[in-house]
Amino acid sequence: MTVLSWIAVVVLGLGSSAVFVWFLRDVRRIMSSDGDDRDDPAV
Amino acid sequence: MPFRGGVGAGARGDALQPTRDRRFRVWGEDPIRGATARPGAEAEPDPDPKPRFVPGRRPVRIPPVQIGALDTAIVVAYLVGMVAVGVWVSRRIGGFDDFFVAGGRMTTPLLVCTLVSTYYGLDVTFGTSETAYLEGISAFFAYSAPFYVAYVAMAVLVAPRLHRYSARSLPETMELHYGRGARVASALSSFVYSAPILGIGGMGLIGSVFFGLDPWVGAVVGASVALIYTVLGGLLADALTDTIQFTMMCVTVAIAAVYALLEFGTPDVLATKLDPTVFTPYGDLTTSQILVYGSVALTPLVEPAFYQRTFASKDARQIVRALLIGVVLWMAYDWLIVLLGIGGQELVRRGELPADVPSWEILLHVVEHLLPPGLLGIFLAGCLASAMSTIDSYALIGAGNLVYDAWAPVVKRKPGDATLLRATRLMIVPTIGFALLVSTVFDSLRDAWIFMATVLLSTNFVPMMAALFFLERPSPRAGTWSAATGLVGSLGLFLCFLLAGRELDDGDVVWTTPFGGELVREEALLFTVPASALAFAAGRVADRRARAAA
Repeated sequence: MTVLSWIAVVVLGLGSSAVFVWFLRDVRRIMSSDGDDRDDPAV
Repeated sequence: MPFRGGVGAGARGDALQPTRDRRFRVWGEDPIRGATARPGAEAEPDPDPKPRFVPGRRPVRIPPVQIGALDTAIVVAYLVGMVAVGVWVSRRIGGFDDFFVAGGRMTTPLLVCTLVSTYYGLDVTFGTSETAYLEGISAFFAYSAPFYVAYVAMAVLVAPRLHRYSARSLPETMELHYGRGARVASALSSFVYSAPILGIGGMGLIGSVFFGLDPWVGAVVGASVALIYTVLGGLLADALTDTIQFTMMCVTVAIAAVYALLEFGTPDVLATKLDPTVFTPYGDLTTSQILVYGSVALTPLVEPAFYQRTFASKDARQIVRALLIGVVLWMAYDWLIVLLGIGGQELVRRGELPADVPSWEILLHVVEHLLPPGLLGIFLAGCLASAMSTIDSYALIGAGNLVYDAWAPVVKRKPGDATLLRATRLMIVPTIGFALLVSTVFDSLRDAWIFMATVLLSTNFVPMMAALFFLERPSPRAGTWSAATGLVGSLGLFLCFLLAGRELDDGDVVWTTPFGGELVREEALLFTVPASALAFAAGRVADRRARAAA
């Protein structure tokens, strides 16, 4: 359980920070995209 | 928004153990019957005429935690920053699609942030820490773990199928298979589920514990900030603020956990000091309790926020990846919150916290003990973030349910895009007002959560899973009958519990049915979901006969 706890600290602290950095790299594209390239509806 | 608190085993008798009270009141005392004393407890003089937002059957008076100017400044800066994001994004909203599903342009990192922060509000944060404080690591294994299975099923099985639909919401997906009646029933159930009762209650708790505010004031201030940026910027503002909120809540919990591991010792060390049952995976839960909470864990499969974000994702791969990354983060988050909750037991054992500290507040007292100024303010902002990310997202969904799913399909003249946008923005205000109102009906957050989850699952689970996995052609009667039976059955049962229910000493509410048997409120969905399945089967037969006759 001790090892699990330290792994959880690393995953949550570094993992969430990494996702945030990933988002910052992506945000310009999100804000400028017109959103017309979704999958074609099949239903 | 899976609530994880205060169910299961009974109180422990050991004086060093935290006192257990299974019900956490939404507003500190029963708004209808007034404050009630815990069975066996002496009535205490009440020096403070204002009831604190506390769990339990009697308001417990603990002075507000004093926080410094730096921490307060961090919290205020955070609130102002959220409104600024809403103002900025509002200039980019061109129509209803932009507002409600962010124009379908959400990518993996944004989806991870918004899914994790939206689905995990203060209800999970405080509920899990409370359950860990009272019951130990069963908070993780018995309550949280079944949800991970559902998240993975949502990612692998449901989301890819769902993304193929040309829809914007769960009720609209129902209409594609079953017609307008099923959509309206689904919309009403989704609205009930999405009313951000738990987040608003949590805001009241923070305002009460840290700023000495009346719970209503804290809740209204926090909800108003969430309301402003959601009305202005819709899902995109919601998601962008979620990224900040997601990072704050995750990083602050991780930092607090490091402090806890260093201060209290690792779990292996704690296991030698605390009651052995604290580290028993399923505690003293009965099989039926594990079954009920395993059933509630099916909620993610019909979760309106998951559906909305699936439709908002740029493609199916983005949402699948986001959900799978989210599962890992949710697991880490839950485990560390459990650790902090168990830290509360250690503080009680050392005599640094009174044994009758309200269990619902335990996380706040533990972090106040652990974190230095500055970090405490960031943690508080993280808690506010956790609540606000839930309030904004579900208020938006609730308003969309009323306007887009319940009103627009039934009016004769189809409303235009501008009307839909205006009406949805407008309905966010009464949606939050409805949540405030409903929060006064329930004695506790747990009661509210059970009600909301039962209504959502009973109405949508059977028809939606059948639509996704079994149906080859539309079956209007099956879906409509099933959704209507689930909705009316669950609402009717809860009305019976409200009007004729009898409260037991352990906080459970039972209703004696006209047939003589007794029904426990927590187990209502074990009856309403099968009833919905039976109605679905009957509708299928009726549809087949109708087709044969035609």
